[in-house]
Amino acid sequence: MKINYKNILKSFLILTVITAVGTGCKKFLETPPIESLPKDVAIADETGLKSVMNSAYQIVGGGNMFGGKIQAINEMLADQLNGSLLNGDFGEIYGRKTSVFGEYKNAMYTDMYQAIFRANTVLENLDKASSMKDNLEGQAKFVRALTHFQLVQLFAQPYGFSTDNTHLGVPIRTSTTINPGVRATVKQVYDQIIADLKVAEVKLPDDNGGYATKWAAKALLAKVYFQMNDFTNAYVYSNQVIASNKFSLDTYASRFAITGTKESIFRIIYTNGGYEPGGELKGQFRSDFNAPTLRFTTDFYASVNTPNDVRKSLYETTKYPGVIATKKYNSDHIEVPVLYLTDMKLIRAESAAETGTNLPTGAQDINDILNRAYAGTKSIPLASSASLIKTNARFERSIEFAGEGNRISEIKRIGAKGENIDKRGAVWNCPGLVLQFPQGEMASNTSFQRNVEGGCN
Amino acid sequence: MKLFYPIKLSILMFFALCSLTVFAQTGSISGKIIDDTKLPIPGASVQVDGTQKLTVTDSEGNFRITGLTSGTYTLTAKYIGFAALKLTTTVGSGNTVLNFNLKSESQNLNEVIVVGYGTQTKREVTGAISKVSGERLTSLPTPSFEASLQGQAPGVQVTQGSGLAGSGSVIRIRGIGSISAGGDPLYVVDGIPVTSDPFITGNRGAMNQNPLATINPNDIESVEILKDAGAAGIYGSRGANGVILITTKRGKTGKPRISFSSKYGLSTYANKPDFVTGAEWLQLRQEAWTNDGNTGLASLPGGLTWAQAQQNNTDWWGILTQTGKSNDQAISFSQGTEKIKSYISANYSNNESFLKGNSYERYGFRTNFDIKPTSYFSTSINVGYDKGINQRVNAAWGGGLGDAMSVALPIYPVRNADGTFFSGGANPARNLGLLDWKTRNERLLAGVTMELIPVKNLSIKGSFNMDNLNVEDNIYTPAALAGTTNGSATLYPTKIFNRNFSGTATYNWQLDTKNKLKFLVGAESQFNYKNTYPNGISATGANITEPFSENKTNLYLAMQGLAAQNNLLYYSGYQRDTFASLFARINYSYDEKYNLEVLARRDGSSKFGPENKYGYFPAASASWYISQEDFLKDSKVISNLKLRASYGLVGSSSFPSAQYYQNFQFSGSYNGQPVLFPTNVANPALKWEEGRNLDLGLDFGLFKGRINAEFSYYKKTTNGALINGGISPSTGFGSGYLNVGKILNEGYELSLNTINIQTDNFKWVTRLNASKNYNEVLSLGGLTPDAVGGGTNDTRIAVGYPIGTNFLVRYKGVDPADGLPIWLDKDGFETKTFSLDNRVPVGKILPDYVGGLTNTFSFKGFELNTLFTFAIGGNLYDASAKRQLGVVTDWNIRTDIANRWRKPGDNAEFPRLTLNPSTYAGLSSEWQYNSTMFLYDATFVRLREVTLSYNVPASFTKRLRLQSLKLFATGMNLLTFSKYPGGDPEIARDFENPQDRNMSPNVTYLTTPQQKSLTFGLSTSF
Repeated sequence: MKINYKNILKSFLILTVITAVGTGCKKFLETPPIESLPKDVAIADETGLKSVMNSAYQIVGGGNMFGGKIQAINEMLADQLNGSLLNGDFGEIYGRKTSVFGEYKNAMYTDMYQAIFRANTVLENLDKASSMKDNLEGQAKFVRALTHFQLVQLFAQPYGFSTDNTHLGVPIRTSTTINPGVRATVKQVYDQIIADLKVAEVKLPDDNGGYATKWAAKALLAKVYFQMNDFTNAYVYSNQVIASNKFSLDTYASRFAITGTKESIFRIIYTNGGYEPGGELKGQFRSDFNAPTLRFTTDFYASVNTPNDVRKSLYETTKYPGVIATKKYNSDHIEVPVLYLTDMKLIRAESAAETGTNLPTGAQDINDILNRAYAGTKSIPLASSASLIKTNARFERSIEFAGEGNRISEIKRIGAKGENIDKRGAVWNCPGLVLQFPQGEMASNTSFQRNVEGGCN
Repeated sequence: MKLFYPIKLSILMFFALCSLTVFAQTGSISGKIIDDTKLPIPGASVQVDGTQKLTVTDSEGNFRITGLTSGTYTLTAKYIGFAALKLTTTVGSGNTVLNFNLKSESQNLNEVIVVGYGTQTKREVTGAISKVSGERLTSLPTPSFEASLQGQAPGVQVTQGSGLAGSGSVIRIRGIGSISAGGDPLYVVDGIPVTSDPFITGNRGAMNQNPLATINPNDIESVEILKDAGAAGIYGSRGANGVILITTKRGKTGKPRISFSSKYGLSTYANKPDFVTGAEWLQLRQEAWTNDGNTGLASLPGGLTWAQAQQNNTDWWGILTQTGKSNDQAISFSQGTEKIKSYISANYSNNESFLKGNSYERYGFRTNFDIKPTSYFSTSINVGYDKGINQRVNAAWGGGLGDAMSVALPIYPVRNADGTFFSGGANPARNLGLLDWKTRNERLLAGVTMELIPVKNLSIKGSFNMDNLNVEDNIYTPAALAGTTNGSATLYPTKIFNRNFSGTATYNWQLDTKNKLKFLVGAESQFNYKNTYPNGISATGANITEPFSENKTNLYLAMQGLAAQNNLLYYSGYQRDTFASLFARINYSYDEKYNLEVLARRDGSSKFGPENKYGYFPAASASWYISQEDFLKDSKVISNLKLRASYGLVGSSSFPSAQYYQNFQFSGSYNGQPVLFPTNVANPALKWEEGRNLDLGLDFGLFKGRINAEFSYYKKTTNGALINGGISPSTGFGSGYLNVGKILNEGYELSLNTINIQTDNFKWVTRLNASKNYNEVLSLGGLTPDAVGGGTNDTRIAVGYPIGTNFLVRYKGVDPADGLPIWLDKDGFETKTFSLDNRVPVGKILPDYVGGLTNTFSFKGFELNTLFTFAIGGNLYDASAKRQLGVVTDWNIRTDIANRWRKPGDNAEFPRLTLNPSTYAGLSSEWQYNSTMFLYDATFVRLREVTLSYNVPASFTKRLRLQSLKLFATGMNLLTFSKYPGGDPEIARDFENPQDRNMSPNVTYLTTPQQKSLTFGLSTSF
């Protein structure tokens, strides 16, 4: 056999070239997708850290939190909606008997913890921050506290359910470590929330270009203490926020307007073409084109439908016969105030009444709310009794925040004080008023203790 | 660029080696080549042994070889499907006549089989390979070519996607060894591993965009399915799910030939679930209302009064469907000389499905050239371009026909009394003519291969290929449809680039007449990426009155607006991944009796974590032609007997890139500032799934090939199967990739071809293939069954059970006393309290047996071909039935509800009606009503194809100056036999991700049925 060695040599040369192009360089195998930045690239400096912080806000304002699910689920658990036609996940939530499944609630749960994961990522990388270090720490702790606070209210029996609050709360996540979830006690969760907020209150600035401020931290502290029925602290913090004079009561029309409300202490910001808050809220409540899924009871509407109450114009009662719907979210674009002055005033008033101190301040707060609600036709004397202030505060609260997910907190908070106010006749601490954990917790940790189910009505 | 170097070298060699030789012309040989039936064989080759003299017969089967000096010559005549024949003659001056009568070779051992990086004759093949010829893929008007593989090859389970135009199929080769990673085979078109991922541009509208639908079936010469480690092992880390090699048509030696085919078809749905009428629906609701202890008239959904509701009986199904129409035109040109062969084709098809407003229109061109200027150098250039335009409609959970099966109630009107669209409840009719949604796919598949033969028996090949896919999803939702003040438009543009570069060297070494060796070494690299706007480009506003594709100004304005908010995200290099591989293969054969093949591949990939950057995949296979042994050589009964075996490692790497490290991505903005978010749970040890595959096979032919059979046994154990789950949701992540699963697939395959009757005029051939697969999850690394779910919670993975186990509460029946359901608890005791804790494995979505039975009857020019396909065993879970037959809500109700409890003493299938899930104790919502009440036997047989064709006799076609003319009519899915009452038993639903595709075929949720169609056509060549 005649072999031309020269040709063989040439051929192997070609093969070598081919091999070199294909496999020669190790770098070829280390080409990550352009969109997937490794951590050291993503969080190389403060700019990266700020962008990660921003991602936590994206969830806080997104459909799984204040973009709608928190409000929708809380409203369904409470007693102001007429849920007779609800079915599926909504029927389950409205029926106060959630199970380990139910994608609507389970997706919310995971995403809320993702907000915490993002906040923890910021906290673990604060060494990359420079001038914004304190600010970012404050924001991350604010978001972590806000989210833990929503979680513990939804997935655990309320503060006050047991005398020392050692009943099970939700997993506390203060690091990005990936490990099975373990439930902390409700007391531990509240302690964590308060600790985070006390840091945030100090580290955050007065104004923060749309992000959480020191006032947001204080307002949230007021809400947390109020929820714990700790009226002394609730008064202190709501008073600080109100006394700052940075916020003033605004019209109902402006509450969700993209032009902003003067009341807002912390809100989810609309950016044209950039960020669209409240999609889920609109999806479930909006009533200008179609009858919405979530509708109110006639009982509730009767409480608004009094001669001088201007708030009744916030309800659609004629367009769809037999349907009572809110008009709060009837706009293509909205903003969502998470913490705002009306809430602070009602907290201060009720706290004043509960502690029996500063009653005239509380009465004035009530009058500010009444004045707007009844177009100046209604007020209470400045020397009103604590009980009158409290009755008014609770009543106005039930109307002011309708459709905003506040009512169930009241049923539980007041319940923990020994008074059942649920209009659907359930006991405040019945198991079904607490959402069930997603199956994923039990699937990844067989000793995870889930909630008792059902048993409300 | 380095690429130019081989080109330059090749060109140099091309000129250097060109030479001319002149022979003195003294004599010639001419003759005719005919087959058994004395018909001429055109295109057969005739070669003078020991010389380069070669010619091809013309259309009359005649050949002529000139320029022969006096002497004795041996000529070999060859044609595919016939045994080569050598004849010797002596040539003097003038012409010598030599006629060949070729015998059809029943065993077809010289048939060419395409294998990875080369071809082998059937005789040489040691692995498990099934070949399906191209013509089998064009006979049915399937939405995409791969669906036509159904029932054609043993061990290949094809579940066709729905009747939606362009929909994809689920193909499983020898079971399923993946859980969360893709279980689909690797598709390789002319050596290019092509983009085939149905989730490549995300998951929108309850129908996955099938990239394979752009491939023109008329261009396919053959499909080879590589099934075992011996065959698929050469594809290393991507061969574990099997490999489907698609070879396109090439120019054939002979006169230029133009082929043309034209088809027209009509289609409708193959099956339809039956729903109650408006009046019946109201009656059922009232019954539930009364059962619940209410008085008066039941509340109604949709804001309707009883009086209004009673006026309506809307047939939503009828409103949304039509008689589908399809047409398919294909023309091709083929020509071939010694030096240049070419194949050029063009095609157009339009399939308007039975869903109003839904169509897939495709046109394409292909040119394949083979140029061989010298015996030392050759090149082939393939270019295929296809464009598909899919006019989309909503389906399943997305609405449309899905609404007609769920929330579009017969009591709802289409329009209100004032003429406006009814909006109190679902109104899918509103979408018709309002939703404008088109997906455009453009695909360019092109490759250049150069081959050098520097010395005899050594071939060096370099091949550069590209596969560009451009997908544009254009959605326009007018205000009237969205229920908003303004309309909105969205565009999702994605360009997918796939580059593949390979070099191989093959050396044939014939030691002596009996010992033959063949060496192959090669290197390959592949680079995949996308250029895309991952969040799309969307806008809403008063100016948005048409899709972006019709108004570029709006598109640019939208992009500017997004960019101004830091919200226009564009990536070049999105989801990119790379593979770099080295491989080698040695084939040894002794005396054409014993064949041994050893191969190995090393794959590195950017997807693999640093702890497992390279995978090594060796495999060995062997075959023994027992029939060639002396003791069988003269057997009258056994004409062929072959034993084969293989064992090896293969991998599967169908998982996303960038999973091994914690990564961050940009996504939109908040407060006008950019957002970077963590996307995953890092796993530095992430790697391929590894299969250990054993294959044993026996091929035999009896009675001179009247009976041919192949029998195989296989056992595949997959280690390190990926599970995307098992992560505590309170970490903030629902899932993460872990190599923890161990899965067994074991099975048998049989393919049996018999020529039952063969006379001069009549022939009856039967082809049966059947396979049985046993699948079991051997280990899950300690995870519980709920760690991964398929089909939004309808199936599970449990150790000791197959992938896609129906994990349900067992339903015992109705208590005749009170009409309430009786369940079985975990331990099998009766209970009347429903609890998700009582879910147990009760069924499986995988069938036991799948296969196809083809019978072909030919009489003179007529041919009748029937294909029955079947799937036996396994379960079908109807996830929509729990709403259609469960708690009475705002859903349609199936007529099966007739068999329900109404009064004490009734023995019924379904419990008493109720509007309230709590009536059935323990049930939290109608969604959780998952039980064996809706689990069905999935066995079905369907008459997949009936084709009657007529080959117009040559005497007549000649007068038309045509070489051939065939007329045919084909019916598809004309008959279906199944025990499932709810519609179509063949289900590949609207999957959400690869895990769903693995775990939830045969779980239906408002799935669009298959099509039933009639097609008429002709094909001709001249």
